[in-house]
Parts: sequence; structure tokens; C-alpha cells
Amino acid sequence: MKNIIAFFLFCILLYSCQKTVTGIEVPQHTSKITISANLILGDTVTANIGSSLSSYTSKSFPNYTDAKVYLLENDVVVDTLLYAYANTYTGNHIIKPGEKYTIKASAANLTEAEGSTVVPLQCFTINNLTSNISTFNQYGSSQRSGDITFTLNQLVNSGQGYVISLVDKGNEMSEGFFLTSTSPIFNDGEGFWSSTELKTYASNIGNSAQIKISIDTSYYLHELDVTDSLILQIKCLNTDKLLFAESMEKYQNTQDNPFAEAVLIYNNIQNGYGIVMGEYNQKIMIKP
Amino acid sequence: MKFKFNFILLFILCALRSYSQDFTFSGYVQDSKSGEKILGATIIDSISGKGTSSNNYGYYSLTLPKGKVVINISHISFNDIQIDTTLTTNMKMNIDLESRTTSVNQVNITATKSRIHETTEMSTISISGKDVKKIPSILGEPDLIKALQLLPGVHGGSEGSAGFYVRGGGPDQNLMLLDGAPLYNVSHLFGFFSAFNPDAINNVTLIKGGFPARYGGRLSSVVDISMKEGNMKEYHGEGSIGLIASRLMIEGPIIKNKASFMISARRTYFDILTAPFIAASNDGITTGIYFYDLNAKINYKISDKDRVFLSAYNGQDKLYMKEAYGSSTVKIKNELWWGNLCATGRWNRIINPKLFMNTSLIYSRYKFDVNGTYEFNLGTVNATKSSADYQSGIYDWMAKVDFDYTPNPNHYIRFGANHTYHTFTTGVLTLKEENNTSKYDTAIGPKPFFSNESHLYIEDDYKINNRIKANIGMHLSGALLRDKYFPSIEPRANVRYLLDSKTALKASYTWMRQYVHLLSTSTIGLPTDLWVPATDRIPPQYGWQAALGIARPITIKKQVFELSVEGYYKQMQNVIMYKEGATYFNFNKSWEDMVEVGKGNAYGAEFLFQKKYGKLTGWVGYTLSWTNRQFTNINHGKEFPYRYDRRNDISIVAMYDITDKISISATWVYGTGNSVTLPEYQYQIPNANGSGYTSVSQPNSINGFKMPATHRLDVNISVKKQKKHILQTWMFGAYNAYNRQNAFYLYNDMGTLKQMSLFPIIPSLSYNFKF
Repeated sequence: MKNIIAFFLFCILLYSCQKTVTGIEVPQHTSKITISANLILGDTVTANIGSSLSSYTSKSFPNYTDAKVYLLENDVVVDTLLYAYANTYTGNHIIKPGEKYTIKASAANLTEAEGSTVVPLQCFTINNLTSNISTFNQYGSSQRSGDITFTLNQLVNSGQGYVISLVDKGNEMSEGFFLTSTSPIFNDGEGFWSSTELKTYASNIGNSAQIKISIDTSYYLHELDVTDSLILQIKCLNTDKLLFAESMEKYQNTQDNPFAEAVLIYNNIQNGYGIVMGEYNQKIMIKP
Repeated sequence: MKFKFNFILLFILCALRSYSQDFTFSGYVQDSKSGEKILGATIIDSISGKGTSSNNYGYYSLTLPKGKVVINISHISFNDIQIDTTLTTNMKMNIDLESRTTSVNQVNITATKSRIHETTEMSTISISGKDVKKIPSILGEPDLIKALQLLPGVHGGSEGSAGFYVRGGGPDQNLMLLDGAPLYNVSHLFGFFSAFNPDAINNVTLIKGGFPARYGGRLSSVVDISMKEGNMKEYHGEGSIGLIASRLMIEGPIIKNKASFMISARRTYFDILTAPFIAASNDGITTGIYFYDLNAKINYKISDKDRVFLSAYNGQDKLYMKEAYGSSTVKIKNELWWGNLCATGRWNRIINPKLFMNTSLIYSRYKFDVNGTYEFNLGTVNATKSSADYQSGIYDWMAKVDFDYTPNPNHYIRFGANHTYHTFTTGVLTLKEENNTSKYDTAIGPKPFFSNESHLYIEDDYKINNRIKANIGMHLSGALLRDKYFPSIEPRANVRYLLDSKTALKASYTWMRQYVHLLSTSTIGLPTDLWVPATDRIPPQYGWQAALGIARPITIKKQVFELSVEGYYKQMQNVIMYKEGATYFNFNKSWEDMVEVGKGNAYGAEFLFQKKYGKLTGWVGYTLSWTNRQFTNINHGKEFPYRYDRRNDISIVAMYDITDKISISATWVYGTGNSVTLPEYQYQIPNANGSGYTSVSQPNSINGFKMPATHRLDVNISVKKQKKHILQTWMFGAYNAYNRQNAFYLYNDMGTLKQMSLFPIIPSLSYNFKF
């Protein structure tokens, strides 16, 4: 019995040595340059330059006003991007189809980083476009309803993705039209893409596929100016943008879900983080 | 193909070579007090040096030359006996062994007792139900799986859990056999206890590599558990009253020396003890969690040649919450339960002294169910009842036949076949709603999946000469999965070469295939893990393992130790994992759309220094290991550490009999922390619409962060007292005796990484009795 009592006294002694351990040592994170740029055919370049931080810091993201940012076309420097506002750098060079573009950036105390992408050479051609879109009044304001149909001829490779939307030129409709279509064109409703955009992949659409998209008037009824023009917009995304968008979509969808698996966001920046991606943006006037 | 045919033919011809003027000495080895069959007993003729061992049913067969023989029968838990006789004809003899009394004055056993260097087996360890009870455990509840976790090469998962990860494999890669019936989920209380009641267990064998051909269907390990058969001679019982659970086992003869039974039960009562307090503190809410186990076995000796066994197991966990408002106007009930049910019918027949047959018919079921019911009742006019029920499960019917054939002492041939019919329900949600005006009833989820799986094997434990012994075998398997047949040829080889009389160099190579997967989320460790079949889209897992090691007994100051050192390398193909961003609670997608198929590897070295005899027993185990996974669309396609990749793992187990009445045991474990995915850096990405930024937090790699190392000391003291017909044992223990705060979970708290620890020092007390 003495041994038993001694044993429990020993345990109590050990228990009194209890320490509350709360902080865990995390690996020191070395900041790297971040580059984000969406290169749109026919537009000039806008890039966001910043740096990464440890996930376990209360510091704010720094503002880099004097980063050196270059645009290379097929590995040749064609533009120097200048600071415009809030980590945003702009240039003057017009993006051409089918070319490889690289953005190189360096900033004080950070290793130079770069990201490359190839802008799509072609997108769909659209034929047999018919519009049945009309306006009507509801709750004292003008609305649009109806659908458009067209056929798509697939001219691009299967690594691309497509986003189809209707744009009201007057831009009163900040949320846009809520569109519906039949498979394989789908509307995720939430996530990285706007619920007003339909997306699909090249591999899902054959040549001469007939597409019909409709405005779902049960959503997003907004007052608009009936004199505004209406534009069908088709974005052809290159592989970098497609992979990035898919990973961002997954990331955003899982942020508040403790049961979801971790998502690594697609990153094509060497020595840094972020994305340099490209798209071919077609706009077709439906109602002038 | 021609080579394989020739190989099998040669194999059979060698085995069938008959010896003239040889006679067979055969029978059962059994416990003298209970009649319980003893497996793994060694039977050696000291004149010829020939020997064998009793099989899983206690049967032995040894063919020796005519004339005088001196047969020595030994087993670690029983006193040796010697039989001097003259063989002039075949001789049947059932051998009764007496239990070894663990006296502190016991004579030390010589080094020749250890047979570690004699067998071809490697990566194999046996442990008895009695030993399991001696090892300290959380809340004083002895646990088989936690005892096995202390062996090198076995990783227990999270702190305190009864996880089971062998040589870098997943939990689905372990073939858990309870009296031959496969069990699919062997944990209770979210993994903190295992499904095996130690009172009902006779013996456990863990095989981590070098799998003999008679086992198949899993990649990483076999845990072969045999339940007690029941005392053929007297009624006995034993049990325990602990802090959270109690156990009772009763065994005895139905017909003396002819038929026996064993029945054991265990239940936790935390829910019953806390129910009044929960009811008092929560208005109308009742909640609780419990588990129970039931084991039963009947053993009937039809004749000297025929025996039948019926065994069954049922274990279930239940977490429940009931709520009622407004004089029962509103009633809410939520339940989460899961459990195994299995039954085995076996027929043993001695066809002739050299040929033993076991035929089994097995049913096994694992089921997981979450359900909720809502009832609103304002009289007969306004009554609504709605319910949701989500369940998954696996149901197996299996038939198998196994033969043991011992034509002569140099060959021990096993062959057999089995067939399993699987039914998988991989997550079905049933929704019902009923009121006075309408009725709604629908089920969402995949249809049940049916598959057929067959296995055929032959192996020979062949003593080539005094130095070389080999267990060579071939396992053939196949499964029909959605009209696609997946055949598999799986060669197995274990070779032992004696470097000297006590040192064995052992090598093994095994090829394995398995037709089921476990789809586990890496974010939580719940029984929500989904057992899914291999399909035409998600093919069966397969892999190979090679191991090389040295084993020898060592005598230090007349004390016998066993030393084994092994290195291994394992490759696994078609392992599965949830896709990035996938979630368990997604009823819109089929599970096949939510998984990635990839590959894995594991390699390392294991060291085991063990003392099996004397008043001090135990072992020191050390594992150095690496294990990785690789999937095309996870972690950017780069290889990453498996969640339970553990570089260093040490376990020290010591059991010491201070006196005949008092014994003490202690275990100390140390392990590198688990690999987890934690965000390590953050950066900003402009939003898709061009206005503002989104901050994203990212890990450097999947499972790229190592949690802090864990270590812990558990101690236990048992004090025995004999009172008339009852042997009473008081057990006092402390789990985590020096109160180490091991990390169970890490989280980001306002920019600081913090840990949550589950188990501080936990004292325990239990009262055990045996009559």
C-alpha cells in the first residue's frame, strides 16, 4: 500500500510541473514577390506587384511604389510598367494573340520573380446568332428577358476554358444578368466566377454546337435604360487562367468548410507567388 | 507462364516425396486446465532435430522415422513437456500443457528456448490476450490495438487514438481478421478505443511484411485475432469494473470435454453516469455517447476428427442527442452510430494425420449511420414529421477452405481458396417528410455496388537444408468489378539463412493486391471515413514489399533476449485521396468524382529488442521511416509526406513482477509529430471583377508541416489478492504520468499557431476479478 500511495504522490508531483504550451514554432517565412496580371488580347498590361507574408503575422501587406517591372514579349523586353496606384503597375504595350508574355518584377530586399503565359491565338467563331431578347416593365422599372442562340465553331485546343456573359453597356446592372443554359454550359452560381457568367471547357463543346442562353428573370431584376446596347461577351481563357480560376474557385468554396480538403492555388511565378495569365475576349453586339 | 507452371509442379512433387518407414505423430496441443487449443506451440524431436508447430487451430503433425523419439513440446506461456516413445505406427496424441506460473523464483530459460532464428517468418509478432491486459492503457481499459501500436513499424495516428498504420500504409490496408472474419472499422469512441475486448481474445498475430501466401487482399498488414474457444472442463469467468466501462466474460463446458461456450460483453457507462447532470443543466436535452461489444463462441467436438465452431461479434458506438420542447410539441432526435457485426461458422476436419482442413462460412457487416428526426405535433391537424438518414456500409458473405498438409518434417504445405461477395452502400441520404396533407420520401446517392472477389493460394514452408529454410508461395486473386475483371498473380517468398547456429539472415518479397479502398478526409478523424470498392474507374490497389533483416537470441547473464533488425521498402499503386477542395458532405457528386488515384512509397528500418521470459519482460522498439504519396492533381503533382509519416518512433515497454501478488508495468513512447497541412504564407490576388483584393493563405506543401514531437509515460500497478474462489486484482494506473501536453490539433489564433492537447495526466482505477 505504501508503494501505491508513493506512486500517486509521484504523479501529483509531476502534475504540479504542468506548463501550458500555447505557441508552436512555425517556420520563418521569407517574403517573396507576388505578381498578378491578366493579359487581355488587344488591351495594355496591368499588373499587381506585392509581396507575401507569413500566415502568422499581424503585419499589413506593404505597398511597393518603386518596384522594377518589365514586360517581355517572346523573351524580349517590350515595355516597362510604371506604378499607378495601390501596388498596380501599368504599361502601354498592346497584347497580341498567340505570343508568349513574361512579367519580371524586382523590389528592394526581394528576389526577382517572373511569370510567363501565352495569350490565346484564336477563340470561337460565332454563326447564326439570333436574339429573342425584349424588355418589359415590372415593379415600375424596365427589365430584359428572353434568350439568344448561336453556333460555336471550336478553333482552339482542349486546354482552354470559356466564359460567356451578357453585358449591358450602360453598366447600371452591376450584378449582370443571371444566365442559364443547358449542359455542358453551366453556371456555378457562386465562387470565383460571377453568378452572371456561364462557363464551359473546350473539351465539352464540339464544332458547330448550338448554344442557347437565357436570362433568368427570377434573379437580379434591376432598373435599366432601354436605350443601352447589349453585348454578348465570350472570354477564351488560356490554360494558366483556367487552372488558376479553377483552383481559386475551389479555394473560395472551401474557406468556411472545416471538412474540405486543402486547396493549393495554381501559381506560375518563379521565385514568387501569383499568376500571369491570358485571355481572348470577344464582344459581339446584340443590340446596338 | 511456362516457368510458373514448372515452378508449381516442382513445388508439389518435392512436397509429396514420401518417406518409407516413417510414421506420423499428430494431434492437438491444448491447455491442460481449459482444453483451449494452443497455437504456435513447438513440437521437436530432439533425436532427429525435426520439428513443427501447432497451427491456428492447435493441430500438429510430425512425420518421423520409425524408432525411438524424444518429443519436446514448448510454448512461451506454458511449461515444457517431453515425451519419450517409440514410433512403430502412426500415433495420435493430444498434448496437454500446463500454464506457466509467473513465479519470481522461476528458473531462467536458456537461449535455446527462443526460436526467432529458426522460423522463416519475418516482420511477424504474436501477442497474447494476457499480455495485452498487462500493458498500461488510457483510463485503465486494456486495448489490443494500442498494445500493437507499441511495436516497431506500427503508428497509432493521433494522440490517444486506436489508429493503425503499418509501415506507411493506410488504415484500409490492414487485414483485420477476427476468427477469420474481416472487420472494417476497429475503433470505438472516435478512435480512442479499439473494438477488441481483451477478455475474449486468445492470441493475436501481427504480420507487417513477408506475408505468407495464405493471406491476401490487403497491402500493409495482417492482424489475425483468434477468440477464446471456451473452457471444456470447468466454468470460469472474469471481468472488470473500471472508471468508464465494465467487462464480463463467462466460459465453460456445455458438455464436458465435448462442447464449450464463451461469451463476453463490454459497455461504457459514461452516458448513464452523466445523464442526470446533463438533463438538469439542459432544458429538455438529453445527450450521450457509449459503445458496447459482444463476443460469443461455441466449440463442439463432433469426433476425434471433426470439430465445429460458431463465433460472433457485435460492436456498436452510438452518439445521441434528444430534445423536446413545449410538452413534447416539438421533438428532435439526432443519432450517429457505427459498428461491426460478424459471424463465423467453422468446421475443422482431420482428413488424415498429415492433412488438416478448415472450412469457414463468414458474414461481416460494417455500417455507419447519421440520422435526425424532427416531430412537430399540435394535435392531429397540425402534425409534421421529417427525417434525414445518411448511411454507408459494407456487407460481406465469404466462404473459404484451407488445408494444412505436412508430408514430412521438411515441408509444411498450406493451400486453399476463398470467395467473397461484397455489397457496398457508399453514402445514401434518405429524406422523409410527412404531414396531414402530403408525404415526401426520397433517397439521394449511389446505388449499392456489388462485387465478387476470389483468392487461391499455395505455400510451402520448406527446410532446404540445415541453414536454409524458405516459405515460398503463390497467391492468385481476382475481382469482378462492374463487368471488368481484375486478375492478380502475387508471388510470396520468405527465406531464412542461418549465419551461425543462432543468427538468422532473413529476406522476404511479397506482392499484394486489394479490392477495397478507404476514403478518408485528412481534416477530421471520424468514422465518416467511407469504405468504397475498387471499380473500373478507381482500380484496385496493388504493391510490393521487400524486407531484409537479422534475428538472433542473445543471452546476457542467463537472461534470454531476442533481437531483430529489419529494413524494408514498399511501393503502393492506385492509392486514393480526396481531391483538393473536395468535401465529405457533398451529395451532388459521386465519390468516384471526388477522388484522385495516385501512388505511395514507404521505407525504413525497425529495431526490436525483446525479453519474453522471466519476471521482467518487455521490449525496446525503434523505427526510422519515411512514407510519401503522389497524385497528379494534388500538391501540384509533387510527392508529399503521408499524414502519418513519422521519422523516429521509440517505444519502451517493461512489465515487472515485484512479488507474486504485485506487478508493475510502464511504457514510454516517443514519436516525431504527424505531418499536417497548415497555411504558412499569405498574399493578395486581385478579384476577378477587377475591384479589390482577395488575401489567400497557402501551405508550402500538402502535409508539409510537422507537428511537435510527442512523448508520454504510462504506468500501471496491479495488486492481486486471492479470496476463496475469486482472484481479485486492483489496477492503479496513470496515462501520461508526467503530464506531457502532446499536440492533438493545431490552429491559427489571431496570427499565433496554437495547439490543443486532449490528454493530461489521467489516473485510473479498475477492479478485476476472475473465478
